[in-house]
Amino acid sequence: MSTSTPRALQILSIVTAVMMLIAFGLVFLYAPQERTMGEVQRIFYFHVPSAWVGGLAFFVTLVAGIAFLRTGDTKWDRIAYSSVEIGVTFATMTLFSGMLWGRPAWNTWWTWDPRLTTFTILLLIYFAYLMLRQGIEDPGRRARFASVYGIVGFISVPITYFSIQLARSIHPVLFGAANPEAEGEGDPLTAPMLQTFFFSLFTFTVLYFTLLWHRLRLADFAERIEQLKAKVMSA
Amino acid sequence: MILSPFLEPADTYGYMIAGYIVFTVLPLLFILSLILRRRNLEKDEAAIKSLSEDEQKKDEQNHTNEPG
Repeated sequence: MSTSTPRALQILSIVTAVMMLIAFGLVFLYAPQERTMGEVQRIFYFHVPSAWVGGLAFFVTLVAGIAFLRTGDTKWDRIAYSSVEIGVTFATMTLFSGMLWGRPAWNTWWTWDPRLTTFTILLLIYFAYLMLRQGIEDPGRRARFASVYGIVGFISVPITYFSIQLARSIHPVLFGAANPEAEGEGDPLTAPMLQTFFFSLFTFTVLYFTLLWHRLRLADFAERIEQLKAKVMSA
Repeated sequence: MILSPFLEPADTYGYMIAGYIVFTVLPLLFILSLILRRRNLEKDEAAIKSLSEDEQKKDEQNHTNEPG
């Protein structure tokens, strides 16, 4: 049984690593210092892409959940599970980096702001997804349950995204504020800041797909081992 | 609030460094967990294969020891 990494994945992993190094370079060497917040504003360049990857990962879980319920193919369940793991990792990064930004910006590590509260609920929903999966023995039942949970759990993503537009919030609104006052009184992003931000956003998206491919290969391998175990036990 | 161009930005360097430690460590921990889980699965695979080979050998021995 061959478990060697496919050539395309090796190349993608190298490209992703190089892109990450470039993103770090742009953040620290190219983007100018923000004049009010100082250096901590640089957290923004990875904080927003992390949140984006979290949302993307949970959207993939939603799509894979629907595909599993329609086709019954366990490949979709493996995609959904793998994507949740990555989403939880990036959402945790978003939460902690946000707290590190909030301490000097808001003078507090934590506040029960609509965005922070809904985001924490979202994170807990997907942590629960991972824990509840472990509690179900039967693979078929586990996959069906996880698919339905992944579909229903996704409701928390748009609620979190729109929370700062629907309710009064101290969280900055980057794009599409319904109320212009919510955009704050800070300076608009300069061209180097925007270039750095969009490059980081693209890099994180590539990083997500690279990690998903690696995680999916692990899930496929685990599935083969389970089948092998079942075969040996039944012999 | 009117910002003065002469105002020095706040010293928030430490928070920025801590933030980028989070951005570096968490993905690395995830990658490490992938490596460790694959290693464990490879060990399981080897154990199952050796178990199945042992069973096969026992079966062959039983067949050769059967009278007639």
